[in-house]
Formats: sequence, C-alpha cells, structure tokens
Amino acid sequence: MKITKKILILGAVPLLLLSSCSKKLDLKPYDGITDENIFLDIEDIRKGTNGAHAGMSAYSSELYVNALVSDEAKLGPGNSGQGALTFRYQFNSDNTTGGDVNDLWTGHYASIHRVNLVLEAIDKVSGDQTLKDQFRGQLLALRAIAHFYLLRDYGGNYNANSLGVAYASSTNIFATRPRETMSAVMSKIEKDLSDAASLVASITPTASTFDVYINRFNLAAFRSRIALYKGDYQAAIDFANEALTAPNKRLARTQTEVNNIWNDNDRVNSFEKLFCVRYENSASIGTLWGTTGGDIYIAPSDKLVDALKSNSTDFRINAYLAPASSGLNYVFKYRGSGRGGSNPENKVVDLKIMRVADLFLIKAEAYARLATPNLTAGMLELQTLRNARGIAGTVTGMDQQTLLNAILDERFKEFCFEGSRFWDLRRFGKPVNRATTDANPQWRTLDANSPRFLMPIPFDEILTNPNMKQNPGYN
Amino acid sequence: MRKFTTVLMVFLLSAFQLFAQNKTISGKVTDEKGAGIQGASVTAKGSTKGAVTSADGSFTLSVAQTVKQIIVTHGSFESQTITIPSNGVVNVKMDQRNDEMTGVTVSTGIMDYKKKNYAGAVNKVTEKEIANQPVGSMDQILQGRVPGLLALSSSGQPGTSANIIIRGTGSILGGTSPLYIVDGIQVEEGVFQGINPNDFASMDVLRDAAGTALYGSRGSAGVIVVTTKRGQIGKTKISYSAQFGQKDRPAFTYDMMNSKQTLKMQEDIGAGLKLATDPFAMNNLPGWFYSANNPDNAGLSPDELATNKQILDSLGNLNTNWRDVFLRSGAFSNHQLSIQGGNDKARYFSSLGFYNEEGITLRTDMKRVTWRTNIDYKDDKFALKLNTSLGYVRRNFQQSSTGNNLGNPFLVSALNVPYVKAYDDNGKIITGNRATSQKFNAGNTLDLTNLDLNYNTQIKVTSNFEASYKVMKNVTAALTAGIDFRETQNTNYGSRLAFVRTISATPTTNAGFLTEGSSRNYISTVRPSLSWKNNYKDKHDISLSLVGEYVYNNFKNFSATGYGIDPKLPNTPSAITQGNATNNLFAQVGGSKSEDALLSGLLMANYTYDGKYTFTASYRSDGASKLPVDTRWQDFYSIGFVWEAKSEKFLSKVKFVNSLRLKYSYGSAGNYDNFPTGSYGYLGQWGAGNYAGNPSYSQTVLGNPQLRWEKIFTNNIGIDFELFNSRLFGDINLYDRRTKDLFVQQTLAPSATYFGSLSANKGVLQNKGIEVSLNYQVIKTRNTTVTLYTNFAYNRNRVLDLGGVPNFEQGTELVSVGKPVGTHYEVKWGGVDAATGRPLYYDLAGKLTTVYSADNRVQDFGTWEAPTKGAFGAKLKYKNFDFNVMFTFQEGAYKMNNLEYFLENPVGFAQFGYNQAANMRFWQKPGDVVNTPSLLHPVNFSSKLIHNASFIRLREVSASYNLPQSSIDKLKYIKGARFFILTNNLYLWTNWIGLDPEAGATNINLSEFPNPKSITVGVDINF
Repeated sequence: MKITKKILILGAVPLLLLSSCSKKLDLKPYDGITDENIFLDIEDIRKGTNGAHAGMSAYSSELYVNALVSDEAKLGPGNSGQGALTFRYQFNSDNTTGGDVNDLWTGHYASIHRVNLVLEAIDKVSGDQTLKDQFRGQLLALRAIAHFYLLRDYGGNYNANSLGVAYASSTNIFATRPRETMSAVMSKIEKDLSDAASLVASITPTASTFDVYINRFNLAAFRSRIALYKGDYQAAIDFANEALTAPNKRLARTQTEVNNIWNDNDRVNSFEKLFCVRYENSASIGTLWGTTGGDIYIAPSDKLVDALKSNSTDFRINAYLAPASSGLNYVFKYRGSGRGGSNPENKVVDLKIMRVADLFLIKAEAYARLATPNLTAGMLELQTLRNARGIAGTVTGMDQQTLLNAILDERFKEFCFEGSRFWDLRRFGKPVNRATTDANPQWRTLDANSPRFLMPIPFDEILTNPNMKQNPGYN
Repeated sequence: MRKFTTVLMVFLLSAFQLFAQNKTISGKVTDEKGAGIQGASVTAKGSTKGAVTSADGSFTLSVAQTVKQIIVTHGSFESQTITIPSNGVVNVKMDQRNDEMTGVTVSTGIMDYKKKNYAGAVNKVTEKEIANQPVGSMDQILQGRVPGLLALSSSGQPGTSANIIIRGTGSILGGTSPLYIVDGIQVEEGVFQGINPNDFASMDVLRDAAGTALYGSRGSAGVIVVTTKRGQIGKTKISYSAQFGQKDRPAFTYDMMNSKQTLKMQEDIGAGLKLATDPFAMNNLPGWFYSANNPDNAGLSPDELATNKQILDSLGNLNTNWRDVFLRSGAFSNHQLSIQGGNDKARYFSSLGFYNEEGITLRTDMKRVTWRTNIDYKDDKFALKLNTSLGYVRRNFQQSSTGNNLGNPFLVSALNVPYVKAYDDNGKIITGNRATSQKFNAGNTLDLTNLDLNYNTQIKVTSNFEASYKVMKNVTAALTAGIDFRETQNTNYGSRLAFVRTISATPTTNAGFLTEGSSRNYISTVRPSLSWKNNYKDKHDISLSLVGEYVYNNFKNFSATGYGIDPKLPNTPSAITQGNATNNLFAQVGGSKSEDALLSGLLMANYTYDGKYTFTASYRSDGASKLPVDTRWQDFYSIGFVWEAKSEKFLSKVKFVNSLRLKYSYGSAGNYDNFPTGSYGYLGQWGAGNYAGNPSYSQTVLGNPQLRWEKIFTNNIGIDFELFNSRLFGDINLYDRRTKDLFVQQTLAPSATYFGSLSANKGVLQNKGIEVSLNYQVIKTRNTTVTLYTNFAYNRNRVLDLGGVPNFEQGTELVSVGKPVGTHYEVKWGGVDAATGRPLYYDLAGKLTTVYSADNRVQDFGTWEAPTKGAFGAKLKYKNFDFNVMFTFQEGAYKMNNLEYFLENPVGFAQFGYNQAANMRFWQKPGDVVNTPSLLHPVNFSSKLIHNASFIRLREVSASYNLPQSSIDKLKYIKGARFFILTNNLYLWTNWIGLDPEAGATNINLSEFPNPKSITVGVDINF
C-alpha cells in the first residue's frame, strides 16, 4: 500500500506540473491587436477612420493604369517590363498579364472593406455623437467615391440600365455579390454621398487637415465629378460652385504657385489641393514611373510633351516636365515634393485625387453639355484655367464641339499622370491615338469601341464569385 | 525531493537485506579472437547487481544464491544470457554486432525500442557515416543515407541547412521540415550551424506512425532523432582528429559566349533589327556601335572605320572569365579533441570542435567552435544523463547568393559580357553607371563584395537532463527537461564608397548604412514520465508508459539600421550618424515577437508474446496555443504489430533465412511546427500605423477561427530480412500516407475582402510508395569484405481532394486534384516561327499561336519533386583499408531554369547588354530554324524553360587506413590511428543546364549558390 501511495504521489507530481502550464496555452500575439481589442472607444474609431483614408491609396492604380493605356505615356529607357503588357493592350483578367489592371478592382474594394470594418464598429463604442457622425460621414463618402471609380472603370460610360458593379456595404468576407445595374449602384453612391454631406457638415477643416480628410468642400468636388459622369450637368456645376466656396482654395496663378502644387511641404499655400492621400515617407507614387536611382520606367509621351510645349509660356512645362538641362524625359510632377528627406528626387509625393483645376474644367464641360448649352460660361471657365496656367488671351467663338474638344485637350495637359486621360477619352467617345514615336504600330491605337475601354473583372473574382459576370472581350 | 529519495533508498535497501546470502561468480569476456573485452557489463538476471569487465575482460560479481543466469552486454557486441555453472566461473565469447543492420535499438527520443519490437520503418545513420563529413549543417549528411528521405541542399553557402522531405510533400501550404530531437528534446529546425555532427553517435529517422505518433501534433513530417556520443567505461581515452581540404566550384553545364561571339552577335542583332528608332539602345553595345554595318557609321572615313575595327578586335581578344573573378577555391579544416572515460557508475564524454570552411565565392565562410559535455550516472535505482552543447558560429555572406538579384555572384558572373575587364591596370575594380551607359556591369557587384560586410554570429546552447528513478521493481519514474537556445546577431554594412551608392541621390543610400539585428529562439521542453514493465512466465513482456509533455517556444527579433557611416569605421554601430532634419539620416528600427506552447499527455503500451509477436499502441492528446479554444485539443494515436517470423518453428530450420520480420503500423500525427498560419492564425489582427501624421489602425491578418491541425495518417507495412548467412540483408517498406484536413488556399472574392485567400482545412493529399534498402556482401573473407548497397524509394504524390475549393496557383504551379503538388503550370512552347521569328505557343486545342495567353497554361510538365530517389555504392574492406563510394540520384524531377530566361531573352541581351549562352541562336532572317525568337518579340515564361533535373551525383568517395595493431604496439602513447581521404560531389551526371539541379525544394531555380565539390584528408588518433 505504501508503495502504491508513493506511485500515486510520484504520478501526481508531473500532473500538477503540467496542469499549471495549461493556462499557458492561451497565448495572444505581441505584434498585432486582435479583432476583439481593436475598437474599444471613439478614439479607436478615429484611428480606424484615419486608416480608411490611408486606404484610398488604391487610387494610385488609376494613375498608373490610365497612363499605360492612354496616349500620355511611353515606355522609358529603363523599362524592363514594368507595365509593358498593359501598355501594349495585352492584358487579360489573369494576374500575370492583368496584374496592373486588376489592382483597380482589388484596390478599390480593399478601400471599401477597410471603410466597412470601421463603419460596423462605430455603434459598438461609446463616445461623442457629433464625432461619431463626423467619422461615419467621412467613411460613407470614402465608400461612395471608391464605388464610383469601380463603376466608371468596369461599367463604362454611364447608362442607367447597363451592368455596373457590386456594391459592398458589409464586411462578409465570403460574400459573392452580383453586379447591379449602373442606376442601382449610382443611387447607392448618391445615398452615401448625401448622408455623408449632412454628417460632415460640422467638420471645420484646417490648413493641415483640409486636403487629407473628407470635408464638405472636397466632398462637394467629388459629387461634382460624379454628377458630370452621370450626365447630371447642372448638379455638376452646383457642386463645383459649392466646393469653390472653400476657404483659401483657388487656382494657382503664377509659375511659382503652379510649381507649388507639387510641393507637399507647403500646406498653407497649397491652393489647389482639395483631396489627396498623404505620404510621409513612402515613394509609392513617384516610383511608379521610375526608380530613385534614375531608371525611367514610364516617360511622358512625345505627344504630351509636344502638346505642353505648344505654348511656350505654359507654366506646366516647368512644373510637369523635366528641365531640358537634365537631358532626361520623366514624370517631373512626381519626382519628389520636399517631403521624406532633402533629396528633391526622392519620389516621395502625395497622391492628388482632386484639385481645384478640375472644378473649372468640370464646369466648362458641364456648361457645354447642358441640355441648353451655355457655351459662353463654358468658354469662360476654360479661359480662366488657361490664364492661370500662363496662357494669355481669351477663349471665344467656339461652337459646342470645338469647345468640348478644347476642354478635352486642356484636360490632357492639365491632368497628365493624374488618372484622367483614358477615362476622358472614353467619356468623349474618342479612340486612343498614340504618336508614331511613342509606340510600335501593333499598339499605337485603341478603337473607341474596343472592349478594352472596359477593364477586365479579375479572374480571381470570376473564379470565386459565381454571381460575377465578366466584361465582354475577356475571359 | 532529496529527503523523499533518501527515505525511498533506505526502504529499498532494507528490503534487500533479507536476501543477503550471496555467492561469487567470476570470469572473462572475450571477442571472437579471444582478446579480452573491456567495459562489458555483466548483470545478474532478476537482480540489479552488476559489474563491468576490466581491461583484460575479467570480472567478479557477488550475487544472491537465487540468481541462475547472468546477462553480458556491450555496445559493440551481441548481448548474451548465460547460465551460471556450479563452479561460478563464466567465460563468455561475444560476437561482434552486425552494424550493417543498423544496430539493435531504435531511439525515438521518448522511448528506446529493441529493433525487433519496433513496428515502424526506421533507419539508423551511424556514427561512421556521420563522422568527418565536411558540412556545416548536420541535415546535409542525411542525403542518400535513408530511403525515402530527400535532402536537397538549397545552397552551397557554408552552414546552410538542407530541405528535408520524408516520404513526399505532405502539405501544400505548410512546410515539410521534420521534427528534430537531440537527446530527447526538440531543437530548432533549419538552424544547425551551431551543432557539431561529429558529436553524434547516431541519427534515427522515424518515418511512419509507430514513431511519429509519439510526437502527436509535431510528428507529421517525420522525426529525426539524434543521439550524441557518451563516455565508455574504461580508462580515459583522448582522441584527436583533424581534417584539411578544399572546396571547389562544380562543373557548370552552362557555357557562355566568348568576347568574339558576343560582339558578333551584337552586330548581327543590330543589323537584323533595322529599326528606325533604337528602343533597346543597341547603339550602346560595342559590337553594333563600332560595326561597319551600322548605318550611323555610314559617313565615316576609311581611317575611322579601321579604327573601329581595331577597337572591336582588341575587345574581342579580351576575355574576362567572370566566374574566375567571383569564384575561388575555399579552404576547409576541422579539428576535434575529445576525452572520455568512466566506471560502472559514472561516465563522461567531452569534446571540443573547431570547424572552418570557406565557400566557393568571395566573402563566404563559416567558423565554428563547439563544446559538448555529456555525463552519465547510474546506480541501482537512479540514472541521470546531463547533456550540454555550446556552439559559437560566425558566418560571412555575399550580399546575396540566392535569387534573381544583381548582388548574386552566380547570376552576375553569367550575365556579364567577357569583353570588359574587372580590374584596371592599377588593380582597381572597374565600376560603371548603368543609367548612363545603359548596360549591365558586374564590376559594381564586385565592388560591393569588396567594400561591404555581411556576417552573423550565433550562440547555440542545447542543454538538458534525463533523470530516472526506479520507484520499485518494475516501475520507473523519469523526468526529461531541457532547453534549446539560439541567438543570432546579424551585421550588414554598406559602404558609402561603393560605386552604386556614390551615384545615388538618396541621402541614406549615399551615406552608407549599418544594420545590426538579432534574433533569438528559445524552446524549452519538460517531460515527466512513469513507466511500468513486467514479464510473466518468460512469455509475456508488457510495458506501459504514461508521459506528460510541455513544450514552449519563444521567438524574438530586433534590428536597427543607421546611416552616415564613415568608411574608416565600417563595423560598429558607434559609427552611425544621428539623424536630423538637415541630414535626413533617420535610423530605422523594427522587430517582432511570438510564442507558442504545447501541452500533452501520452500513453504507450507494448506487449510481446514469446519474443514472436509484438503489439504496440500509443495515444496522445495535444493541446496547442496555435489553435482556437474549440479545436485546441486533438487526439493522435498509433497501433503496430511485429511478427518475428524467424522465431517460428517452420522457419527456424530454413537455413538461408537468418532473420525475417514483418511489421505493420498505422496512426496519425499533426503539423505543429510546419503550421502555415503561424502562431496566431486563428486570431484576426490589426496593426498601428500613421496617416498624415496621425495614428491609424488597419487590419493586417484575417483570422480563421476554424483552424485545425493538418493530420497525416500513415499505413506502413515492412519487412526486415537477412539471408544467405546474413550476406544479403535489408528492409522494404510500403506506405500510404494521407494528409487529411489539408490546408488549401481558399481564394476569397476580391470584392469581399483584401485578403486574397484564407488557409482552410479542406483537402486530402496522398503520398504512397515503396522504400528499399539492400546490402549484399559479395565477398566476405577474413581480410576482405566487399559490400554493395543501395537504398531507393519511389513516392507517388497526388492531391486527392481540395474540399470544393477550385484549383489554385502557387508561384509557377497549379494545385489541382489528381496532380502532384508542385506541378508546373505553363504555356507549352511551340518553337520559333521560321518565317517571322515570332515565338510560338500551343493553345489549349493544341494549335500553334503567336499570342501568349496565360489561359493556355497546361500541367504537362511534371513537378520538381523527384518520385524516385536514392543512393547506391560499394564498401570495400581489405585488412586495414576501407574504401567507400556512394552515388546519390534522383529521377523524374522537372524544374524551371530562370537563368536561361535571362540568358536567352533578347531584351536582356540588347537592352541590358547581358552575355548569352554559347549555344543560343537568335532568329535573324526568314528561314532561320532556331530556338530563340527575334529581338522584336520578347519571350514569356513557357515550358521552354522547364528541363529534366534528374541526376546522378558522385556524392562520396573515401578511403581510409587504420594503423595495424602491430605498429601501434610500438608506439608508446598512441592506441590507435586512422588516416583517410574523402571527396564529395566530384562529379554530376545530368541533362540539366542550370547551376545545380538540387537548389532547394522549389520548381524554379534562380541561380542559387551551387553545392561545391570538395576533397579532404584527415587523421583520427586515439591516445
């Protein structure tokens, strides 16, 4: 008996030893905050909303893809394949050939997912209702804006009954959402935007927050852009005018001011910046076009350079193109902006998504396209912009088509490498015509009715989402 | 505890006082030739009394009258049980143990089995095979020595570990690395530089459930059990061994163009292109720039044309062999000093090792100092083993030696053209700016090698004890506990004098950098156990063990990079310039931490009837921190059966069968250490960041709350045999291994989340195959033994089910049902259109097309993992000479050669000025039947790059000579001496045309550091 007892004691020792360890199985990560600990109060929501704003960096794909598929860029001397398949219109829905264009879809939906994660958490925390409303408003606006770009890229020009995209308003990771009609998507976008407008009205932007967070002014600017796309021209004009009431925001009017648009250090005199994604140190926008070491992947096309240089007083020559003395041709806008170090070529630059200049050209176009066109007003808006860019003289005597063409040409110059040209050509129903020196004949033109004017839905989406329908011409 | 022990001792000793009527027995233990054997252990059967033989083999032992038999055992001889004659004098002649049969015990790390009672497939790699191999990582020794074990050395960098795959890839998303157990405790896998394999006595490779199920959730990829050397009873023995040698580059199968060929090709291409513009900057290539055919030179005078021709001629005569520039012969040396000895109670073994290896490319080496001390204590009741190993390693690296990185000397020495020099007349490295010349210059890489530093130092401590106490006659309580600790400090210095940094406009690059990093890994193991064993009526052997185990692993790393390093202070953090708003040299710091823990209970039962039938069973329950609470606890089990057929009456008379054993096992194990989702995969995680100067949160990890182990269930049937006077012996195993709850990549709709996929337990994967190990002693005479041997395995890998998840891509493979893991997924190459020079591809309908489309990818090109692999060779023993030759091989592996893509892609040639493979021919004019398209048509990745990576490698040739006893007797202080010569990787037979067909467990080779060939000479001396 004695021995049995001892065996029991001896057996109990290890058991005791081990049971004291069993609590140790509940280990939590050091390097991350778990789902259950992330949103505990309103300040956490603020941080989440900040993260959602940072998530709008997905717009960089608009810049990149637009440049590659339009006539504003050519492949640079240092290119060893960067964007080449896209430039040659050889992309499909797979990630090998369609890596660049697929980022549009995945990027915008990623932004939306980030937004929805925070939106769903807002009501679970306690805190000041005004703050909650403001955050909710900003998040709804970001969600709507991302959906607008998806609708534009994958649905094409606005047509109420055409196939749009899926509207993602929850965070279900297993969701298999179908594409809705463009009007259905547009009404959800508009609902989010108008909700947002009333919720963010109480935000008073400061010089340091204006262009990096959603407020009622830049929100109005986006609503103007979206209304133009939808064909709601009066609304486009009205929203643009509302945006222009923003304090301290106006067109840059001198060479220095135009140069200064790309100086992200100067936030007080950044008259033109309405909304951007701010990068403190990251060169992710600048290095789309080349390396900090000087390799040029993607260069301004000869067609663009010629267009800008057609008027030698144009301030944009200096601001957008590399100085002749450098002997190089690269995207000077994004060479660096005085941030992230003293090197002017460090490619650290904010991602501009909305500028004052756009409001003028939106208005010009909207006036020209009104059911009863107001060509005089349209010409005046165009003239104002041109004058501010160092091109003197008046714009007069244009008929509707001439004015629209002039606006398209002005947009080509003004917004090169800002994600506009390709979609502008499509809105105007024009083909892509590259210069002979910019591209080989096989990929020199893209017909206005080419299916490539719509982007392919990524193959991963088709594969995993049985409800998804591919755009024509892709598989 | 001490008090308790004392009480117990007193109690037990008093019990023995009852049997105090003793008798004395004595005798001598000798070998076959009659020489006394020292250190044999003689124990009285049925008691704990024992003695150890002295130098001449004699012993005396006092035992109780009731004792009828004694048992004589020795590590090198077969054990014997002898009945005590009435006169009490026992003379025992012992037979040398047949080492070729891999010994008689199987170490599983948790429990030792007699081989005849072990139901699983196991092969023991012996001390003889391990000793003196000139490799810095112990796992590399395993190549070719164990059937069914594939060891692919992924890099020739000294000290880099191999990729070990046992019985085929058992996981798609997780790893395949086996569990490593050294003296009973787990050591970190893949980091073996700090462990000295010359201290190993054996390595047991457990491949099926009989062994792996004992490790439960950790065992699914196989278990490698290392047993280190222990002191032998006897006088103090001092041994010294030394090796010296050299490592050299292997023969490369890729021939590069010489200067004349390259320049001619440049001219041909330039002339053939006839482009209005020069999109590839061909004019920067001298072969075209100076060519008389270049239209830009049309206006030149005859004198100028002559000058151009002269320049071309002189360039053509300049042939820099860039491999000679970057590669070298590496010196190798290894010294080992050990001391051991002991008596029947306490033994010790202590060894010091100094290892020094230089790699075959500049700035690569490894230096190691190791010290191991093993102490054994054993008395009637109590046994203790203390094992401590300390290692210090310093390794130097190239800036990069793997992958498509222009810092990689193996890549750049192939890419650079031969008509440029590496050094100028003053011996200075010639550097150049690609941005202005537009062409690639390997001098920049050489410059980095010359100026930068990249090294790490590592401290490795493995220390544990195994204590056991015989509580009563049949019951033993034991405790094993220990730690495996490793800290690695990395230093990476980038000189600001390096050309590529001097031209940079980035201040931090321009200023030079120093990175200091450290990583620390700590594994602790605590394993108490209680075991009982008994024998009834000499027929029934039963044992039961109850084991608990707690394993805790903790990992932490930290690194800091500072800038502004004065080149005169290249190797110290004190040289870092503090960052400020003016210089913008802000330092960067970062790091990470994780931990995991495992808590287990294990029950093992073994029953043997009459020495003939053995049944084994194990049951283990594991609780793990890596899994969510609901699935945290998981059961694993195994059953086994062994039939010792030779013991049956009907076989005992069959003379040509010396031994025959049949075995079966079945059971399960999990993939704890190869878990694809890390330590916290079930938890969603967020990270803190910054947006516009304000703090922000964003989601970083999508948790899967349904995570479970991947479980592998293995059926194994095996046979061990010795036939024809034991001249033919070996074993054969058949297995079927199925991975259930296989992790598959469940792609999520991009419109639903930004985490492209989720690792989900949904699939089933099968590996089934056969493993054969055969040895045949062709000649066996007194002086001469010739043994032919082979081991080989065939494994068939198939994905059986993906649980409804569609096929998914991983790198350049597509995982799909019915195909092996790793199956290439590429468009089929259709050659070059002779009329147009365009590349042709096959579409899915089998028609040739000029359009490359990823939609035309097919899976017809095999996989990187060879289904058949193994080794064969011969051993010759003649008097005091030993010869061994071993070939290793793999058959049926297909790999993609990325180097070929660079060397044959026209864009690389024209635009970046890379050199070309000598056998490459561009399409230049209609009618050319060639395999490389026109420059105007870039090539895509296709099946063109996939080649058969089967090979036979002359892995080892060795010869050794033992100084004969007669010579030794004349030497006063030396008790034994052996001289040897050993060569590795002398020759490779393969159709592969890349650097090295091994190069890791991957289906694409990226100019990895190839395995060197080596030759070493050495001496072992015993004092």
